[in-house]
Order: sequence, then structure tokens, then C-alpha cells
Amino acid sequence: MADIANASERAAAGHRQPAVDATRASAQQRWAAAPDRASAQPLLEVEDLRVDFSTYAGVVHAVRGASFSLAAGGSLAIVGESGCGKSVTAKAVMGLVKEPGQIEAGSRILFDGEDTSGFDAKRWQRYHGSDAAIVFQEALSALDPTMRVGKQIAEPIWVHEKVSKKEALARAIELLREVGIPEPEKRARQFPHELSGGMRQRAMIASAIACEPRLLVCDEPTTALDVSIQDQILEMIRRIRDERGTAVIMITHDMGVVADIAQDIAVMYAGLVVERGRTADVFERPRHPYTAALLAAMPEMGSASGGRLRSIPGAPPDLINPPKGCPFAARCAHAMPVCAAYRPAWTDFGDGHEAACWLHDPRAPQEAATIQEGEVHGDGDNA
Amino acid sequence: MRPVARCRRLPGEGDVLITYAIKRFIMMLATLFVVASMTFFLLAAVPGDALTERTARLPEDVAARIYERYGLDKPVFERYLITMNGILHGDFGESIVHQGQTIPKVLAEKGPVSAQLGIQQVIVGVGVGLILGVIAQLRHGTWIDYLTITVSILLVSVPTMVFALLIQQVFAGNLGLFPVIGWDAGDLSYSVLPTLAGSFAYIASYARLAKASLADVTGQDYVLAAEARGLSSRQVVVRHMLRNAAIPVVTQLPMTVAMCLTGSFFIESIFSIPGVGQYYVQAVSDRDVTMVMGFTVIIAALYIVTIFVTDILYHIVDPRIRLATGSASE
Repeated sequence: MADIANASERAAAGHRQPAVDATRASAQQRWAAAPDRASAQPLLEVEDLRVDFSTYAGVVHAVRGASFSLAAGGSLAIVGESGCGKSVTAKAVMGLVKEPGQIEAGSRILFDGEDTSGFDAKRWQRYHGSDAAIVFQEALSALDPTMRVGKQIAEPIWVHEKVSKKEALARAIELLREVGIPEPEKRARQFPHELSGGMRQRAMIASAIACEPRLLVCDEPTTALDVSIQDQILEMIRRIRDERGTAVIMITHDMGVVADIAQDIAVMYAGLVVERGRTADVFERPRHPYTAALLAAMPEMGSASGGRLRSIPGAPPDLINPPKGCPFAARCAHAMPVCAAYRPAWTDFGDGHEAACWLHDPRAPQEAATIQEGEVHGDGDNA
Repeated sequence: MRPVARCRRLPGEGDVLITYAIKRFIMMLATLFVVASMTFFLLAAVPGDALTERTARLPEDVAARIYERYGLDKPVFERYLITMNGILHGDFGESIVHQGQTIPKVLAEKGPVSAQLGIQQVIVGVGVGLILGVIAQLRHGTWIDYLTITVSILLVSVPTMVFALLIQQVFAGNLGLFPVIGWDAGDLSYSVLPTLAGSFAYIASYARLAKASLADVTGQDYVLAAEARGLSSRQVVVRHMLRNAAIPVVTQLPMTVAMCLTGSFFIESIFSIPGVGQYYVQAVSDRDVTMVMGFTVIIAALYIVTIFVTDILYHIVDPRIRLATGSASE
């Protein structure tokens, strides 16, 4: 653990490509030898998660049915564009959905087999920090501006481990050192605004891993950072997973980050998980047109297509009145009449790779069923 | 952060504060000068003066001698120079209406009364207000919340004197629990009703301020993050929410204290309390130029100093402001 810092330095020195350049091939290589996940008992199971927000404009159905599971020590990326419900899903997993948001009845979040809906205040306190911890996107707003950094990192330690505040502070300084912050004694005495963006995110991570949680939820931890720092932070999260056996949920909109860090992926669109599976499988053969479009929108090194980025035409649907059928139908090049009317069922492609798309229904026209990345818009311009 | 910043010697935190304080002090003097000048010319522009009534039935030469004694026979601009010169030397002059009265004498006699009453009002008002506001926000959406807000709006909307007369009628008149009017420095029972009447406005405004500041803080990421570390809801409130919510309250407080010290005309009139507020308003209607000038300049100075102190307090309470004017640490 002590050399997370060293690893980060190595990463900073440019031993690895920047996250955005990570290619599908590298993802495949990295996770080809991933342990068979069927053998592990899932640490986290989310079934049909639905979260609604009551607003003046109406009820926003932010998450409308998200199901996924995560093995102990595994890593799962939840991917999707802004507003698809991925952050709300992360908060729901952490039990941090606040008014006016509400987790709807019928949603199940099981942590180590235990249903979190049955948690009382005491159990939640134990869950927070020692079972599961979260790293927020914007460390500056997630750290209390009026409290010294060291004190904030020490909080989970004295709360959970019944040690004195002084001892907790000493351990907080040790944690700061572990996450690669130079002069940790000095930094611990500073206020959050006195640290750089990268250091603040490291401090957040230090606070999250202080009590060795079994699950670490990272809600776009690198989005607010510049690219070179992003890489160091990702490297650190990966090492935490590998060395401490902490399961990681990575919320992101960046496919490069997914390839870098996650064994499994769940693609969300308009509050629904539309495809899930091993990252390598999904990257190699995306089965949902939305996943394919996301992958096609990823910039590629050495591509011959003149450097122009692809985009997905149209905008995501309104979540106050979500579409009845597949939410992606309106933007999908392969949409059929049935897509707009009925929600597609899951099709299993083996090894946990599933997609919710009508194209894989036996009744669908056969030529459409083979979705290849780069063919999303039917323009034939293969990447 | 950037190498450019490292090459240049950045001013330290202390330097910044001192430069700032000197600038602010010069601005304070300029403000005071403008306030004093405007007060003087506005008073001069009002028809009639303090001696009009007194000299109305006197023979011409006697009236002229009285005018001469107070210097009111001189042209406006000359009087202005004399007044300003006096103020510069801390001498506001003698009262035109009450012979022998000067600002220091009046302040020594009536100041402590107004100050004691004001401070009692602030302690009761701000204390009760903050507690109510915090409870209302923590019980957000319950009947306690709605009751607090309704009462606050009522207390803010109804003028102080209405409440003063009401509680005077009920507690002193009907129930006879406290003296109706008057003041006795040694007997606190005289101060109970005026304190109560004066504290209502503070209760209302501070309850609303506390509730609003706490509500602002409630939705912040760091509150969620604190909960996510496993802190109990009480610990989250005490360790993270209250301190952050205190920032707007702390900046409001000095102004309230300054206001309370100068006394309330209505409360002092209704309860016949020999305080500064009543004297000041009386001096204005008497056109007692020297006294009005004196009080105005002193009150203005008090407010200006208070605003200055507030700014300094801001720096102390909010660490972000401490460095915002100077160097960022990296």
C-alpha cells in the first residue's frame, strides 16, 4: 500500500498512455485473465433500482430500472452521458439519496446479502465509511471549507474505530502520505482551498479508504481534473483495488477511464441500464446500439478518419415523461416500430454479457441484429 | 501553482491585512466627513432653528444677543467651518436647547441605559432567534418549522411599538407583573418588558437568517460527504453544518450590536426610558444642531467601525477569505 505514491509518480512520469487514448485492445489484454466472476459471491447486488425526484415541473424518473452486481474485489464502471442517472445510482448505493429524491418500492440494493432498505440509522453509520465509501467528483465542494484537511480525513477513523482524535489525526497524516501527498503534516493542517485540485482529490480518496471499506464508489473522480492528474488518480484507485481488495464502482462518461480501470461495465441511458458485461466483451462486441455509438464517439489514436469526432445525433429523452419503449429509439439508426412501443427484454450473450435491445429478438430482421461498432448510423464508415 | 507566481515575492497574509486596514481607515474618515457635512447642510436647509420659538416674543436686541451667544448669527458656511473644526478636535459644542448639556455629558448619563437595554435585547433576541431557526431547519417540513416561520413573519411585519404597547397592556396593565413605565438602573424588573418588546424583531430576523443559512448548507456536497464517512446526523450538524451556517450570522451580528447600542426611540418613548434614542429624536425635532451633529457623527462612526470589524471577522471565520486576497499556497 505504501507505494501507491510511487506508482502514481511512475504514472506521472509518462509510463502509461493518457486515459483518453486507452484503446479497446489494451482493455482486452488487461482483463483477459480476469477471475471468473461466477465463482465469487457478489458483494453488491442492485436489482431494479428506481429513483424518483419530485420537482415543481413534475416527477423526474432519474433512475428507472438499474440492475447490476459487483463481486468482492471486482470493479464495475457505470457509464453514460450527463443526466442518465449514473450519479444518482451511485448515491443510491451509498444510501445518500436525499429529499426530494426517493428510492421507489421494489428496488433492491443488497450489500453482502443484506438488504439496505432494512438499515436503521446505526447500521447506516456503520455502512458509511467502513462498509462502503464514496469519492465525489468535485473534491473542493466535497470537503468542508472551514475544517482542516487532516481533521476531515481523521473523522471516519475515530467514528468507526473508537480511537482518540489525536491518534486518528496521526493516522490521517499517514494516509495522506500513502496517497502520495508530499509534506503530509503540513497539508493536514491546511484548509481544502489551500490544496491543488489533484491533492484535494487524493485527500478525498484518503478519507474514503481510511477505514478499509469493502466497496469504494467513485463518482466521476477525475472529471474535474486535468488529464495528467486524472491518470495518477486512476492509477491510485486501481492499486487500492488490487492491493486492498476493495471493490470499485467507477461512475464515468469517459470510455477511456472504463478501459483503464473496470473489469465489468454497465451502460446506462435515460435511467436504464441498457447493456452490461465484461468490459473486454462489451468493448469488443457492443450489443446495444447506444454502447456502439459511445464507443464510436471515442477518439482514437492513428485513426484515418481525419480526426473528426463522431457524435450521437439528437438529445436524451425527458425523464419527467420518459418514452414508453426503448429510450434510445428516437436516436437509434436501427430503430424499428416495436422499439418505441415496448421496452426490450434482456438478451444473454454468455459470460454475463447482456443487452436490452429489440434487435436481438428472434423476430427482428437478421441483418440488423449484427451491430458492429462504427455502423451505428448506417453510414458504413468503419473506424 | 504556476512558476511565474513563485518567482515573484507574494505579499504575506499579514501585509495584505495591514494594507487593507489602512485603505479602509482612510475610506472611513472620508465617509465620516461626508456624513457630517450632509447632516450639517440638511439641518441648515430646514426652515427655522432651535432659537426661533425661544426668541419669538423677546425684544430684537435680546434675541440678537442670544443668537450671537450660540453663533447662529454667522453665515452658514462660517458656522460649517466652526462646527467641522470643533468635531475635528472632538468638541461638538453645547446644546442650544438645554443649557450646559454637551455630548459627553448626555452620553455618560443616557448611554449606559440604552446600551444595557440594547444588549439585553440582542442577547435574548439573537439567542432565541438562532435556536428557533436551527430547530426549524432541522425539523424541516414539520409543524415546528411552519410555526416558527409563521411567527417570524408576524414578528417582522408588525411594528415594534404595536408589540410594545400590547405587552405593556397585558403584562404590566392586566397582570401587573412588571412596572408599566420607568427605569431604575438597580432594578432589572423595569427592563423586562422593554427587553422583550425590543427582542421580537431580532428573534424574527435571526430565526429566518439561521434557517436560511442552515438550509443553504444542507444541500452541500461536504455535508453528504460527512454523512458518507459514517458521522451521525448530530455529528454532521455540529461539526460541519453549524460552523458553515454561522458565517452569514457572524457577519450580521456586529451590525445588530451597533444598532442596539444607539437605542430605540419607540421602546424608550413607550416605556419612558431615559435613553439616547429618545434624546436623539427629540434633538432633531428641536433643531438642536450641535447635539444632532454630535450624535450623528458618533453613530455614523460606530456603524463604520462595525462594518470594518465585520470584514475582519469574516477573515477569521471563513478561511477561504483569509488567503483569497493574498497568495494561494501552491
